[in-house]
Amino acid sequence: MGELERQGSNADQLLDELMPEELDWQRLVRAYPLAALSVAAVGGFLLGRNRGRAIVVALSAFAADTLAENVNTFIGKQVL
Amino acid sequence: MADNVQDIEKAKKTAKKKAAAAKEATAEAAVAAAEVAKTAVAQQMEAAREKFAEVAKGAEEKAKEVGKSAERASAVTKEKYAVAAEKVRVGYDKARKDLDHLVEDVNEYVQDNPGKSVLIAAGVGFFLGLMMRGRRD
Repeated sequence: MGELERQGSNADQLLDELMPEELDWQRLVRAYPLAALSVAAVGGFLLGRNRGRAIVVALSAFAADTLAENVNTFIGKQVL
Repeated sequence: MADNVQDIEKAKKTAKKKAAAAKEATAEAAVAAAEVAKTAVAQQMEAAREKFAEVAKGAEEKAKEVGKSAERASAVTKEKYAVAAEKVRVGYDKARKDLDHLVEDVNEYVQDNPGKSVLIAAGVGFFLGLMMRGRRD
């Protein structure tokens, strides 16, 4: 499985987790591609405008936490 | 005495004849002067008429030249308009074909990678929203 395919499947899994189970979002996206992209872009825009900073802060904290955990695991000792 | 009376009568008749002759000569002179004046006026009128005809002919020629110039300008303008319209049409057709190809490619990519496409669109929207919020603050 190539890198692109793996990224694609990761994105699909992420959306599978985010979307309600009864919603077949892949079928909808394949049936109405431009409309789906528009809805996603508008949703992302509103999210970024209204909760953008909070999300960026949360993602940064998550990334820093994960990085520290990986570094500690790699070294084998609690340094961060 | 009788001779004197006859002489006076004769002189009267002579004076009358001379007066009549003078009157007739004056009338003839007046008629001749009027004729001369009439001829002069007629000549002036004829000259003015010729001058007017000449000016009118010149104006007509000028008008024809202006008309021809206008026709030439109109033809050139029409030609340029046709060329510009053709260029616009070709550009529009090309832009429409490009847009159709782009939409087709996007559709194909979304069909192949639905999750990735949606996340990219949402990410672009999120970034734009974040930027606009930053500008507003």
